[in-house]
Amino acid sequence: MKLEKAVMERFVEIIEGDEPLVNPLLNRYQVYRDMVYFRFQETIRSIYPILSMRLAERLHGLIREFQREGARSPIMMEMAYEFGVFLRKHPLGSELAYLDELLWFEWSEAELLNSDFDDEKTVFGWERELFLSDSARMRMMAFALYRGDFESRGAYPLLLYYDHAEQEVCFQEITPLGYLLLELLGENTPRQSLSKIAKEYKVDQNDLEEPLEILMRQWCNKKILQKRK
Amino acid sequence: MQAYPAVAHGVSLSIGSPEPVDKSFLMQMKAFLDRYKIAHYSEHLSFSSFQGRQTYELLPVSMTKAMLRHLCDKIERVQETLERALILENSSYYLTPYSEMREVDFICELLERSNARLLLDVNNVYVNAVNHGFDADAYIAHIPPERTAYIHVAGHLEYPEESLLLDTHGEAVCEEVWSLLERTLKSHKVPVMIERDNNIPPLELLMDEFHRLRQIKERLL
Repeated sequence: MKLEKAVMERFVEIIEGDEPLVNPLLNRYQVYRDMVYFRFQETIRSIYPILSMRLAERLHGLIREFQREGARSPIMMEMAYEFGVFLRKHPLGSELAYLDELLWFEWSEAELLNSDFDDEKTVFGWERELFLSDSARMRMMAFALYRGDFESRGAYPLLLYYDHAEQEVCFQEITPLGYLLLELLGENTPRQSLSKIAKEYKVDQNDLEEPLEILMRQWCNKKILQKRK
Repeated sequence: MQAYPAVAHGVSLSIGSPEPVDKSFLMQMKAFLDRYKIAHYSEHLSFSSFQGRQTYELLPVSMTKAMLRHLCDKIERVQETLERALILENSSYYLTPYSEMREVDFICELLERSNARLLLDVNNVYVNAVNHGFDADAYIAHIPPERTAYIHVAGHLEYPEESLLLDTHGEAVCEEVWSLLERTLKSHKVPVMIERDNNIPPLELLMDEFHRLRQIKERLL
């Protein structure tokens, strides 16, 4: 296999590299070079459609640079995740302040859409241990890029979740209070969370109980919250 | 998934690459196949990764005796892990890396020496026959029907200026491929699947192709 291995090594070196090819129109290495590039491009554009549009002509060069660095996962979709890791380390990151958030947003959307969830609907209870389910993500965003705003900095609590009934990924800007509640639920029961929020917002616990219960029941119904397994 | 039997078809196994099989990838694949109760798993006779670098494309292997030994060893490892027989598809290729054998002889010897069965892609045979100048019917006549698991038909693009047919799986099946399929089915009585990976047309157009396939099958009953 020594010879065969050397042939394969050279083959990959040619198609992943940039060395000029003789008569590219008729050169079959060019066919492979293009096919591999388009395979990367197709996947990256489908996972990061907004980013791809914003990068416009720069996308081509970035994909070629990434190809030379090498993707490692045999799962094609995960190559797009690796591309995100590559971009975060790239000088581009210091130029596009929203890059990290946009990568997170678009990757999360794709990941939620392509995952299998076996979450069961959880019944709400004040003393139950509830936390954000596998089919939901949250993040305090600095840019409301999901609304197309890439300029104004702020604090936008975002909830992203897979809607099991509609079989689609939804995003929702939630209130800072709702965001705090989801954060607290990771380590507290709903009752403990209620008490901490009441203290934080300096309001009567009894006044908060009903609206928070309605919110958490909705989240349980949508499988955004699940009980500890 | 419970109502219809499914066949899984992959592009990342990279059976031809010189490294040992990726155990972790195979374990994920086995978990997937077991979860959805999929008995049949097919892949491509090609390589797509080299020293851990992925290309996600089906690259041609050298058709040599040493490669045959290597493939047989890897097929055995894959089958042991997956607890299923592996089905391998003849891939289209645009250049032939260093080789000692004709493609059809290479495939037949692989089928003889391993437990793998063939996914015969009739479009790929046609594309390769045109691009490399061999007789598609003679090629198919060599393929043992009893080692053929199923057949794919698909579309390709023609680039006359480059004297090239490009297997895209994104076009309608052409007349020549339908006709080659009909001749193939006279000897290889196995299931057929129309493969469309991209550029998916409206359902009515896909149904037209399906009816065309059904007519061919019925003519041969």
